[in-house]
Amino acid sequence: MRKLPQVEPHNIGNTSSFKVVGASKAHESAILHVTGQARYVDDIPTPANCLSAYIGGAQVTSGKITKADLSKVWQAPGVVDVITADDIPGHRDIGPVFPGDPLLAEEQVNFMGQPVFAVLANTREQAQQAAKQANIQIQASEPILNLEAAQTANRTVRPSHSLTKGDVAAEMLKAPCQLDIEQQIGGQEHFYLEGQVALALPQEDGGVLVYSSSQHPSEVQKLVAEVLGIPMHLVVVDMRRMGGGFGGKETQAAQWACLAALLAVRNNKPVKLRLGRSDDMQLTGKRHGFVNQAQVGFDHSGQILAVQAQLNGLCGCSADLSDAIVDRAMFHTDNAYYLPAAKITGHRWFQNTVSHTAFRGFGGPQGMMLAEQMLDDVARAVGRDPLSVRLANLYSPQRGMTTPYHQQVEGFPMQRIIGELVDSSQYWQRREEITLFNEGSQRMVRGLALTPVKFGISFTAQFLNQAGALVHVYTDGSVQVNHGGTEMGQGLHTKIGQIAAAELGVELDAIVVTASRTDKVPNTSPTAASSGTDLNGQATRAACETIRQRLQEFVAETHNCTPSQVQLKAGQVIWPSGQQSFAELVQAAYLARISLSSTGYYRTPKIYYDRDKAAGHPFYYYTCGAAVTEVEVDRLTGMYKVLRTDILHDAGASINPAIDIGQIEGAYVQGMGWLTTEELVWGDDGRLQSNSGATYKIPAVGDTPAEFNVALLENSSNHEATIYHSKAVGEPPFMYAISVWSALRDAIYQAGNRQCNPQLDTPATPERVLWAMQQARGETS
Amino acid sequence: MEILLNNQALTVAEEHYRKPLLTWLREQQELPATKEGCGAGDCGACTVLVGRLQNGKVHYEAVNACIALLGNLSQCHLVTLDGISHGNKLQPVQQALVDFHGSQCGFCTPGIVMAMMAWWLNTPANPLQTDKEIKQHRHDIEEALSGNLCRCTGYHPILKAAASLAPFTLGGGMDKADLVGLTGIQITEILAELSPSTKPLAYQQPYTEQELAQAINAMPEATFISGGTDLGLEVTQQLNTRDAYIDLSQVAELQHIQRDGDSLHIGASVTYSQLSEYLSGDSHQASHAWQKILNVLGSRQVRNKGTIGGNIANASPIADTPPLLLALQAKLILQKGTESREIELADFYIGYRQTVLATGEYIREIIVPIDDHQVHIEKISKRYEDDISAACIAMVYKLEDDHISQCKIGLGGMAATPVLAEQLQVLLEGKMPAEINSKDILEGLKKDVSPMSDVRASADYRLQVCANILAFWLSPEHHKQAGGWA
Repeated sequence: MRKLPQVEPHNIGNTSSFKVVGASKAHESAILHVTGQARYVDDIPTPANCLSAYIGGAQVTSGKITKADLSKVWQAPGVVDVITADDIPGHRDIGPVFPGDPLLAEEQVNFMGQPVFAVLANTREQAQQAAKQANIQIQASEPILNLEAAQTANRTVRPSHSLTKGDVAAEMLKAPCQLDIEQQIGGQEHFYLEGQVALALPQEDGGVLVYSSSQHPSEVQKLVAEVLGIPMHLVVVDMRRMGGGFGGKETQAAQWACLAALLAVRNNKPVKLRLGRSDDMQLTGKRHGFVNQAQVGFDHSGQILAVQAQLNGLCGCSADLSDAIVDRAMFHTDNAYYLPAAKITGHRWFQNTVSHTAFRGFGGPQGMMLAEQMLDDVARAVGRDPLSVRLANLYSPQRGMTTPYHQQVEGFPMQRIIGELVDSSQYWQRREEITLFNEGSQRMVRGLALTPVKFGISFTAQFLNQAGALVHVYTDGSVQVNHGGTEMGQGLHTKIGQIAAAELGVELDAIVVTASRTDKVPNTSPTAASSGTDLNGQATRAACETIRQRLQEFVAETHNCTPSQVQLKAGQVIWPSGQQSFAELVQAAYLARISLSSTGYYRTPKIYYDRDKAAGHPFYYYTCGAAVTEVEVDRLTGMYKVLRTDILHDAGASINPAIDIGQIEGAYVQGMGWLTTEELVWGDDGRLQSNSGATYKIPAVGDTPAEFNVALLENSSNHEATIYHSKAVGEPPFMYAISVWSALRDAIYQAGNRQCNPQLDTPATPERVLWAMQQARGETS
Repeated sequence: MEILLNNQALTVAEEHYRKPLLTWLREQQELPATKEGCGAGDCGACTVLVGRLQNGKVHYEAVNACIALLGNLSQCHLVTLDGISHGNKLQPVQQALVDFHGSQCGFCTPGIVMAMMAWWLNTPANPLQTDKEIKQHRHDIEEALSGNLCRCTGYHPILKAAASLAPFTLGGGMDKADLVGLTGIQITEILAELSPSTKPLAYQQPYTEQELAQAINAMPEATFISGGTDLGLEVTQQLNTRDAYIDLSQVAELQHIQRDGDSLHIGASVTYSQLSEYLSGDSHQASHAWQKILNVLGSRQVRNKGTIGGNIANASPIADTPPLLLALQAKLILQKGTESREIELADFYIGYRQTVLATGEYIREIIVPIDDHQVHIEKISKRYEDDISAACIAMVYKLEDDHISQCKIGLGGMAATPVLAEQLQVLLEGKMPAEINSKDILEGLKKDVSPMSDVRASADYRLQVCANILAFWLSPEHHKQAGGWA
């Protein structure tokens, strides 16, 4: 560059109204979304010689492959290549933490449809048709398809783990009342609208560039390198945006990327692999189903004294992330309630299904469901309104602030949140109105519930709590930001852009956040655990701060002031004796040979967990809030509607209130689907029967609450030094949907004239609700 | 055949007639704005507008591109999101979605924009005044978006965006909107000039019954297709494209809806949306029941394509209109060549997905008697919108001196075909409603049907809800209180 670009000179306008952090900026891709210009992996223009891959598997749930005759696959029209496990030059297992996830099954088949081979053809249709031609023979064995079968066979994917606080046995004996709980909690299909997809382009020197719809590009890079048997520096993974992730592309994207990369390098041709919806649903992991059991000791006022709980996670056929998922379920069995004595044990059971995986909440929701059933059941046992009993059991300085894993709860505004929410939702008034309505209604019956959420923020694997960023300032004053997080719709890049703009004192449109790429920021963590902004925001701030300090020092030197006297704001640079535009300053700095690029790095302080002692401080802080839901149930059919929802959520000092509210509303509706209409049905043969949008029903537009009031807690600030004292928001609001399930139970309880506390396993389909109403009325079906 | 794709008239090669529109748009036309979410008409990410010339004006409807076969779309104006997006100058629908934070991951957004566009183009600008109008307005918005799944937003910002367009910016009309860079008049002129389908043997789209007869003669074994909302799934989900199709959707003689004395005559190719619109002003009991079931039949996109004749002939046990048609004692006119015959719908089904239709025979018309009976219907499903019945039940009867008479009960999802509950009908006939309890009904039902347990519901649930609903319809409370929401 011999001649610098022309730039705007400084303006003398007012910079005092400049506010970028805390403003409800539109999603950085909003215009691209609504005009259809936003590019997803399948939209990237491919070279003319691009080939298409598909996978084929065994139609048996459990057994050993005795013969795989792929000759007809080879002979099918348009077929270029067919590979099995024997064709993998490097690692054959792509398990993210523990082994157990073969890229292609070698001998053992563990779930229906498990991929055994991949076929490459000229078109996708040819590859799909060819994949159907395989003749794979399998010696079938008895599959394990429920908890009992796994217990009988004593098959787990990881060892059990327990949290212990106090002498539970003794406290249970002392408690005036006890009750037992068993709840079955169904899993959940992610149903990201963009299915799994990867595009691999072979590079010189045996390397490969992979476009993967993944929440974890660094892991895809590592696994591709291992599968190919090449160093990681020959693999680049690029991820601009996903069409939804929700945890379903944390580990589950790797298999397709590895297969595409392997076929691309083998054939020296670009290769795309995109799963059809039905295969996506059958071949990728889901939220874990759980069977939770507990004994609860409590007093006559409903105060819980002791809890002994067994959480049985149904993990599927391998460990995947199940160790951490069941841990997180255990860490949330208390939810917002102080348990004076507790023993919480988590088991990780094998099943002959796909290996279940991360999904928004990561086990937390399944643990929290047990807490909320405890509170409802205890309240009905002592004849009090569940809200009163919930309030009496919250963590408080009077009762106690120590969790079952011995972390002290700090920064816990729950009393305030529930107080404000009870007022704004008119909980007590509506409770009376609902009672009156139910007495006068033959067909419809209504229910109401308030449930809180306290969700621990941080990866429980300590090393994942680190992040990097790379910021470039160009000589026209425009800025490119790259960081370790991925954009899946949650607005991460928007918030990162706001942070960079604030730190460099430029307008938001001066910033572009580019695709996540493993060659820009290396060794990244998955975008998961609600941590995207917390980690990458801090790393971005660090990078921007470095550049800003260099610029401030440069101005101070040239204009005879101190660096702290140099202000960068709204694209202007102001020092005591003068002003210029950011672009002018950048050009001056460039000519003076000041570096305009920097990396940034962050690691979360304070966190640790000693698994041997089951004690520590696994969470940097907690995100809190509460929800009130009113439902109406049809006594004839069990069908129901959410009439009104009120949510008050503590986002700390929100970086972008509109994005945070979007996360809350979306998570609530997604959680509602999990607990109501989204039913995973496996047949006796282990085949997933709910394998399409026709049989698996996620909420549709009419399921959104007719009245939906969502607010952020005002004047809040994270007591920990998070990025601008904001709080993580991705997962916690998912669990507000537990109030839907609790309100359904309330309605059913009312339908039985408050005589019988109904059992309501999830998903609470209309059928389950109808049977629960029969139970509540003392009828048998 | 020729189509107008956005602002460009194109010839579609015969080899593509049996291909899904979505694949052709994305792969042949390199227009990636339209997304594939499910490939099965369940998510709406692929929604496009299909405009057809009707009485000199172009009428636009939202359609799922993934399951629409190209041969079905001859001489249409196809509008995709690429066509209505011109740089950063946004259409009002697009601007509202930006303003209300209506996209997160953005993958469903193209379909949402197009579904909203269809609603926006077809809704007159009407200031909303009464509560009823406002409620109806929200219902219309939800109805327009009933076939569009979003996994990120929870729909709230999308609903707010749509509501913000009302009442002042509605009623754009393609004329006013100038969406694709052509005026309404230009579009009309271009469409009028487009060549019709070349009618290759593998996909014939006749326009008259005479052409239809020729097509059947030429390819007697061809599969009839109409809206294709079920047959399209075979293509995308089972990778099974039939050797030949004969498309009934544009045959002029199958398009009528008319009242003739005591009967309603519905041409077999009338779509659910067309029937719903025809009945919308009608306050007859049966019309209420029709509206209730049509409102929860598939999604808006499906209702725009699917036809009444297709719903019957497809012979699915979970089809939504046959229970009502059975209870109303509908008759069918079947046509084969120059021969036609009239049969009771109750005699039409002979087994699971089997009918009395001979090879080359098709349904020409459905005749629905109009009487002053009580007519009730209820569909039971996990989700209200775009779901398949666990059970569907319709009942038609009269009360004569407080006694039930002429009782007909149609059931869906309860047997291998849609059926009448004949034994139960006999049981109820002549009784006073007060004499009947739900246990008797349940026992009566069990004599008629033995439903399956499957992914949607158990056999016991299917029987129990039907018994509960029938008992409720006959209860004194029912006459005091309006039933369900659907």
